[in-house]
Amino acid sequence: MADVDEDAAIRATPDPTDTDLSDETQDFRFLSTLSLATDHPTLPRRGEKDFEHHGTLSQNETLAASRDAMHNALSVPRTHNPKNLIIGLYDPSDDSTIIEQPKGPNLRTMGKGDSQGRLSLLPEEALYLVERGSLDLRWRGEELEGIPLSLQAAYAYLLGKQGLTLERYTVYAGLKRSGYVVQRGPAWYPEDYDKDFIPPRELERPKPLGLFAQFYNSIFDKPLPEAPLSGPLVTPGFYRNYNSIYRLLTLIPAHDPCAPTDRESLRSSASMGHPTSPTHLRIRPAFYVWKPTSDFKKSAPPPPNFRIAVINAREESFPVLEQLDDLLQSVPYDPPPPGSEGQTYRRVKHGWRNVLLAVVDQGVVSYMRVADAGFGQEKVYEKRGRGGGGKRGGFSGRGRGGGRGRGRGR
Amino acid sequence: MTSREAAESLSQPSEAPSRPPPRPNYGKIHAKPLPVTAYPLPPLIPHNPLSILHIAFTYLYRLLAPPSSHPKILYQAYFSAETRSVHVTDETAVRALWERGFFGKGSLSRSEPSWLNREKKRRGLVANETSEEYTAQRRAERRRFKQERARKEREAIEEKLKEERPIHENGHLAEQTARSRYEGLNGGLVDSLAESMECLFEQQPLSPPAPSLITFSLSDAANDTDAGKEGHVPPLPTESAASDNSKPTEQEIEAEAAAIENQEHLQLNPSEAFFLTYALGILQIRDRATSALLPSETLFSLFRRHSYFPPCESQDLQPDDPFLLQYVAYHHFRSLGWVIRPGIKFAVDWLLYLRGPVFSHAEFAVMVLPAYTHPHWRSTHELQASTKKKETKSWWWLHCVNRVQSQVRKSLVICYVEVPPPWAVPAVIERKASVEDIEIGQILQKYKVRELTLKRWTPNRERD
Repeated sequence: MADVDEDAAIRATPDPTDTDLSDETQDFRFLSTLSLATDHPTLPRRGEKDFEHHGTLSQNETLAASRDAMHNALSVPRTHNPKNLIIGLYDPSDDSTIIEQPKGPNLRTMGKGDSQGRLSLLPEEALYLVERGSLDLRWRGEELEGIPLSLQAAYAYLLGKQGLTLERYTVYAGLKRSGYVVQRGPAWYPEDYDKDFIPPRELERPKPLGLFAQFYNSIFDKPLPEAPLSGPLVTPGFYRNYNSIYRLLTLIPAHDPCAPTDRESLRSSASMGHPTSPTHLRIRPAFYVWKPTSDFKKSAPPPPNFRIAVINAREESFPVLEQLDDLLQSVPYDPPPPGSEGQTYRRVKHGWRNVLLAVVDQGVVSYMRVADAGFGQEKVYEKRGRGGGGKRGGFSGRGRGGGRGRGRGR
Repeated sequence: MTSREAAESLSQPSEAPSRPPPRPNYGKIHAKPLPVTAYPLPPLIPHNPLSILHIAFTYLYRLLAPPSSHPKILYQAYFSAETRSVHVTDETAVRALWERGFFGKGSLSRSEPSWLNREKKRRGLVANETSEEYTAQRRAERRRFKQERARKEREAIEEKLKEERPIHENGHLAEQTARSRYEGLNGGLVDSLAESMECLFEQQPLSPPAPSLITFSLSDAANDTDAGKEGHVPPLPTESAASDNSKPTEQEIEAEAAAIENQEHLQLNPSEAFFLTYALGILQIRDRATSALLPSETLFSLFRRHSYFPPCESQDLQPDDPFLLQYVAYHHFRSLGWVIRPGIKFAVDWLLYLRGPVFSHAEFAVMVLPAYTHPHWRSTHELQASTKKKETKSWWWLHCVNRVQSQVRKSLVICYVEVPPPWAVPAVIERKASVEDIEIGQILQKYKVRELTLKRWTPNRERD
């Protein structure tokens, strides 16, 4: 819960340009207090701080009250309510946990039911329920049948089984605690990685121009000569509009998010011991995640809201392009929503395919959304041409005009 | 709308004469997105049949005497190896490159070359406001606001202490300790500075500053600082002379303004300069010593060599030279119509503006990374090791970059540039003489660009 609105908190702090000293002449005379040989040298203070002790009784009381509240919350004994108690039997032979009499809202989105009304839990689900205090886990075996397993024992037995790493569990438990519905994704089945390739959907072609526009263009828009590659690309001459100049400038090939990238080459070279296999780990979404408000049904799950891949920050570096490309092609095509035409910022930020990366560093999770931006699909110059030059901020969607606001560098 | 603008519009009717001069019409000044000129036809206005005549006339006129997109004399610049940049000193060229496409930066300014204006303003010759002054003014206002807030908070605490005085169980003693602690905290240097500032703003200080040696010397110093704040620099003799005599005539002012030599030049970074020369063909870059014209081919390897420090030899050039990677990204975004400017202040390589820095903030911050997708880069064990070293970036690095971007509310874009194998990118290229010769454009077409947007995702905020 440490990152509740972290970003918001940062934004609430004063303008970052405010503390930017580079543009100002700095005055270091305040440092003289440090060098003076006094008995009690004090550090120079910059700015006001919240929660500074100022000796009022009311402040002391507030502090004491919140400490007490914390102690009270921690000192409440945690017990299983016999009415809601669920008993699970852990079978070490196949690492499954069987619940004979499933009940309670937790189990509605977890586990897998069978014909006899029993529910079989995956290791991470069982561990999460034990940790939450909702499940009484017992041993099932020839000997020692029915001995209760402590939380430590549950961790020891369940972690590392069926590909359940501590990182994956950390992410799973964190999302479950936030209320999400979480199911396993393709990362658990490495043998099927090559089957995940999802081709992009066919795009609707832009509507052909009207007759009149075609006629107008045929009169006034002469076809342009090829740009000479030795430069300059724009030879001195007569151009009717900037669009044609920009078209001449187009030189660098860019990735087309609507077309699949050449995966054949990747796969064949993978066998040669290059990209994706031994040198680079292949990444796949480890969890499919649904928002708590969605109508999730275990028997027929709707398409997930998010796909999350789990990465260990200590063992893996930031993925290279091959890894990200391989990952992005395994998730469904998700183009910018219809109706967003013209909203360049929104379209680029949404991207054409997207996936979440959960980077786990020793139990701390940081989520990143990666999207295939497709800048090449947004011809900014065409919009500018339509904007008529004099219009201010008309297509930025922000309407900032010439206003110089706070809170943001240029 | 900023608060200043709001204040402006409020005070408009009553204080019309003291209003600062209106902002320049940026929409008009920066109407052209590139320094080359296009000649569109006049608009067709359906309810005005004469506009058809206008169109026909312009069309015919331009058919007979087509105007050129480039000026007769191309803009001149020279390459400065010491600063690894290209300098433009000619005034028309500087204005054209800045106003049409926001190329380069003033060597003595934050971005727009405004030194001359600031200098005139400083000498009291013009009343325009430059962006640097605007920033300074805004900061002063904010500082004043913070002092006021701090004072109010202190008053509230003081009030509370007074209120609680009878409640204290240990009476006198407890109150003393609390008070001394409070004074210990607040009697520091910043407060004495703040108090002396408050005196300046004619506000009643709460309590006289503790009479200690340090405080006195510091508040004196603070007084000095504030006295000098009006002008930042001591007033020039011209000013005092002017006030002694009768008011200078307009001619005198103009003469003096014209006499100031512009000591600023426009500074283009290698990518910008190469784009202007190679892609637009509007800039001619010369060698500083010999004044010899440097053709695109020479510039290409020159910039590549100077992207290392110390500059490397021609035979050591690689397909992933920093200049090549940066230029490929630069050219890509420019050719899509973005205004792209260096982003070092935000820990990235480039910033993308939709129309330009005077219109809106940059929305995207671009980090350029090489991608070694070609099998060559992993063909041997040595290459594998060196490639791995070059392409590996830690998650900590990424989070550093991303954290800066979320502070300044920009979106991080990772721009991968796929690097071709070395044989596709010769170290030295000549002006095309025969069919086999490789041209710059052919080299640049071997690279491929792919952009990914990255954003932090917070589970607690995506729940519903």
